[in-house]
Amino acid sequence: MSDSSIPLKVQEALTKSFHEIAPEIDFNQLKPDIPLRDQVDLDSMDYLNLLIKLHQRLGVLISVNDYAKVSTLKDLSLLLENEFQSKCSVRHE
Amino acid sequence: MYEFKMPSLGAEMESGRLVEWKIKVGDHVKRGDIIAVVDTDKAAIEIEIWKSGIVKELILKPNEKVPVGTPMARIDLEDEVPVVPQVTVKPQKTLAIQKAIALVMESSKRQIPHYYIARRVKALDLQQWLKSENASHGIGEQILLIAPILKAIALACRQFPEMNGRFQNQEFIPSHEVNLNVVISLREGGLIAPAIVNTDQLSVQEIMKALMSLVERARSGSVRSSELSEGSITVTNLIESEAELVFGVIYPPQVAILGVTRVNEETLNLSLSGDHRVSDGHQASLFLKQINQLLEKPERL
Repeated sequence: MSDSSIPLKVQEALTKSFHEIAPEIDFNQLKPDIPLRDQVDLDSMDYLNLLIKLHQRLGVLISVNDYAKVSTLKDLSLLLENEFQSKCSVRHE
Repeated sequence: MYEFKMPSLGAEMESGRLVEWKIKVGDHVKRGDIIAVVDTDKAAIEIEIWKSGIVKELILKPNEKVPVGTPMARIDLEDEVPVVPQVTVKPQKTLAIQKAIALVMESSKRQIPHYYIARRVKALDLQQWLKSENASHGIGEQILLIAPILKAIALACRQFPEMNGRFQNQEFIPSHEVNLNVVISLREGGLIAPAIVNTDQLSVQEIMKALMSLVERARSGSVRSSELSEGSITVTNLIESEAELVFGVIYPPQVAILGVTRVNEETLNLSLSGDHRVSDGHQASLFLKQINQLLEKPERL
């Protein structure tokens, strides 16, 4: 897998996972820099379900303890990309 | 010939009103088909049939309200499969749910003399315990704050039977089981409060799993009718809201409802509405104290 495909994979996983936990939300309308909580009505259980689905799709583990660290979609994407990147490079070695 | 009768969708259900038929005379129905929508005092519920055959006659007309057990339709059976009484509860629309909630809450406030009491709970140890638990477990075993709180409430219920039971026919009967009803908000609006059966006997991990399954099923409309009627006490969880206190309306025939809210990172509020025919503020304050003590040692839950 080339490095440039990582953001795309993450974006795809995010779109699909979001749709599954909250089909009423139009993912494309979400603003990446504004806290997710201010844009959508998701509780911690929705968030946990999102992390579970992302783990299934990308194999990336994010703990609910990181909730505070990832308040915006941008934070979440970056964290996922970094984790996914390191997971892929471990696999290549 | 098989007579399909108005099913009982909960211990306190006495009658149901037919909202609409999903079948007509001559239709072939099979096991698991939804054949009608029935309005109880709680919700509009889709009724499934558990036999297969041809619809011969629709006895009941839409809008008719009849007691449980009244024949609704006649079906010519294909085979004699044993009847499994089972229904799935599917919220029809926000309006129906809101109407149902209105009826139950109205009857609660009319019949039950509520009293209210609250106390603060220091939650620093609980939060730290939760963090270390989550750091050492995989994504499938993550726990949210509400899970240990539910466990503490359930354990306290064992020692305070006057908080955990049903008031029916002018008499309070304590429940042998601790079945916590958990209020779940539905995405399309409205609430539903299904029970986690034997909450006191489950581990915190198991409570978390049960809760996740319940929320998922509540939101997809597949809560079992038994889960709505089995509860012995209700918990309304507003930890994630900015509200600092909530005093719920008791869900009859239960006799108490507990609210959980957050004041700040280190402090929670426990608030209780109790039925004064069954308990008083003194007992309630001891009940809340017991929950607080249990939460001080989360590793023992």
